[in-house]
Amino acid sequence: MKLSCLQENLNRGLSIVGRAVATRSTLPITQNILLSAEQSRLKLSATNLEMAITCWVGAKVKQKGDITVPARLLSDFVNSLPNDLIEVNLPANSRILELKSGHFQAHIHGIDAADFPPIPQINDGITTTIEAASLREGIAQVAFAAATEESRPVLTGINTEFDGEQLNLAAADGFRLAVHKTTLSSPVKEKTTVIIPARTLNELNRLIGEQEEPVEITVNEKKSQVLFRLKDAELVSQLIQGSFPNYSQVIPQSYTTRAVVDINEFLRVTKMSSIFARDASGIVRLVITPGSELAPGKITVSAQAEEVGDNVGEVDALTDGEEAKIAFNVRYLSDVLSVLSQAQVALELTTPSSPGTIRPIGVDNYVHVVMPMFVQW
Amino acid sequence: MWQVIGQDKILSLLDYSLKTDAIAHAYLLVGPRHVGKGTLAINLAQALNCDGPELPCGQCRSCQRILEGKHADVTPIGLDSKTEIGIDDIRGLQRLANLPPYEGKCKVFIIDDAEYLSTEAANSLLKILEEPPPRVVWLLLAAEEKHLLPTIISRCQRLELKPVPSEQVQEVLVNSYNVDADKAKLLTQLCHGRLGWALSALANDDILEQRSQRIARLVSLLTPTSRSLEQRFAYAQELASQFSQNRRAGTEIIEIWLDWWRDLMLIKGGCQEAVINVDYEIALEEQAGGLSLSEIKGFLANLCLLQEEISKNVNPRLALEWLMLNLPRRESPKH
Repeated sequence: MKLSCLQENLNRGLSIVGRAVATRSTLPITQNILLSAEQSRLKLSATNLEMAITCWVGAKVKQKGDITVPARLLSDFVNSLPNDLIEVNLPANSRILELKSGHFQAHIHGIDAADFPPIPQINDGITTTIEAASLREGIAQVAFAAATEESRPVLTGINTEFDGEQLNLAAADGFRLAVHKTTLSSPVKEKTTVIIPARTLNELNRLIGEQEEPVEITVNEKKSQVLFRLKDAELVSQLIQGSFPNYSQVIPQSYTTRAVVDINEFLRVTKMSSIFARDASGIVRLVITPGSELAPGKITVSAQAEEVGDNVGEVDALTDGEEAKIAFNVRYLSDVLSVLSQAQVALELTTPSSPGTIRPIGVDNYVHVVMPMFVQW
Repeated sequence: MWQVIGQDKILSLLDYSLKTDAIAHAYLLVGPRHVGKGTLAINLAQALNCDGPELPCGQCRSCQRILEGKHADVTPIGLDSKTEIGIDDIRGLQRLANLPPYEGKCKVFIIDDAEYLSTEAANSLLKILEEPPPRVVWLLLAAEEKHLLPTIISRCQRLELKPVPSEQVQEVLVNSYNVDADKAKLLTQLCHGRLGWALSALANDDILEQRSQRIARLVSLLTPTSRSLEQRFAYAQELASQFSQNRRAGTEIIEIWLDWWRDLMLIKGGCQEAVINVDYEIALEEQAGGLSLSEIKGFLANLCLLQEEISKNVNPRLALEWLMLNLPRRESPKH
């Protein structure tokens, strides 16, 4: 292998695939990055056996070849080089990669590329494309609601349903549920539902970044892997096996009280209360007071911590229905309010013991359901 | 071709299960150390992922990768110089277990030294053993089954690997490894039916060398010139510190003692052909001549007691000093 490329390009490529490098693993080679010199470009791949990222960097290839080298070592070294041309050389029958750039050079001991776990190839199955912006929004508004602990594996993933031109993303952790609907650029030939690990989608969102080109999604025939093809990178993820709970019955069909508030103001009082709620198991109490002829309606948000203190905040609201009370975990409230980009949000309640629903105003593609906490009023 | 030797019953069971697609979600392989549990586990992992016609073929790419420890779907964990397998290790596996196989047909998790799972780790493993995800097989390897949680044992299919008969070990050593007859005989006797031990001793001369050193120390404690209590206590102290550094090495030495005294008893009883330490027959006979059968029997009982007490965590030094006090002391003629 013999090639030259720009430090800037190589560094960017390494930081992209670096996200898929295993941190601690029983298979040590997964802490390496696979470098393959192809026709006029350098392919970088990494996998942690859950997801694999492949990325191509423009390079002048004089001789093809491949090798794996420790990811940290390579990316730290390349990162510290000035932006200049880097000569990469792997002598025949050698496992020591030579890097040379101006006054600097390094030798990195690698492992044979044949030992690297194969990066899954997905050629068959269901393919579709989606606008980068819609996918980005969907992931951002859903992924945070997925469970982080492993006791129910399906909940650590995001239920992804391709149905005609519709893409439905849903995540739940037993206390909250987020459902986002968006349209695909091209319809799928048959309805398909898979569970994609939330970690993968968070990484995907980072990869999409500012990209404007549509993203191509392919689910393989066996429904065990999914491929996201971006402008200059590919992400393949294993899919979580199992079936996602039927969440549609969790979404309340009606409400007795509804309050429409400005998101930013609502978020501010919520965050304020979280300061006191820290010492009170995260509990905040919400009271929706209907407006009268003279005064507008309002939501009162309060938190009280025994022997620490308490606070109360109010937000003006357009209300509908009778007075209502409910208590939430403050994190579940602030999490959802911080990912919404709309100006206003509606909070719909029935009783203090039934879940509350949050819907952004102006769009009808997002629902968030939060379970209440039981408190003495 | 299965690489495991002398476990025909288990292999035919596994063969049948593979053929009828009735592989259990978890197997517990029990048997003494070096008897072939690890080899069997790797073999089974190969069989489950093999592309060849005869499972496991050992030739295909997948079999090769598993053997070299490079296969992404075969995950072995073990003690690795820790004192127990913690819950974090198991949690990591759980996450992997819920994903489909990466490159092969079936995910295989091999937990070596499963008796060293911490209680929390074992309990968290229970959950996944109860609701096994599809296409995942767990292989738990344990030398001391009694330390495992009964709840774990009850959720696995138990396969017991028996010590391999001496004739079979000797045959393998002579025919497959070209060992000369004398050495093969010695290794066969020393390995107690654990072929793996014989092979590692064959590959690594240090093991036999170390054994000779240990026996030399043992013999020196019994020679007439150095039978002072001081010397014996010094030995006890040394052995006790061995226990605190490396418990396994300590127990190995006690096993050498046991074998030695068993041999003495056999010689006293006139059963030379069953002796383990065939290369020390002269020394054994010399010693046996100076001891009575009841002395030998008594000391063997003491050794067994010591082994048991140490496994129950008594202070090794106290126990060993007690053993040294009970070591037969022939009265010198002048008394």
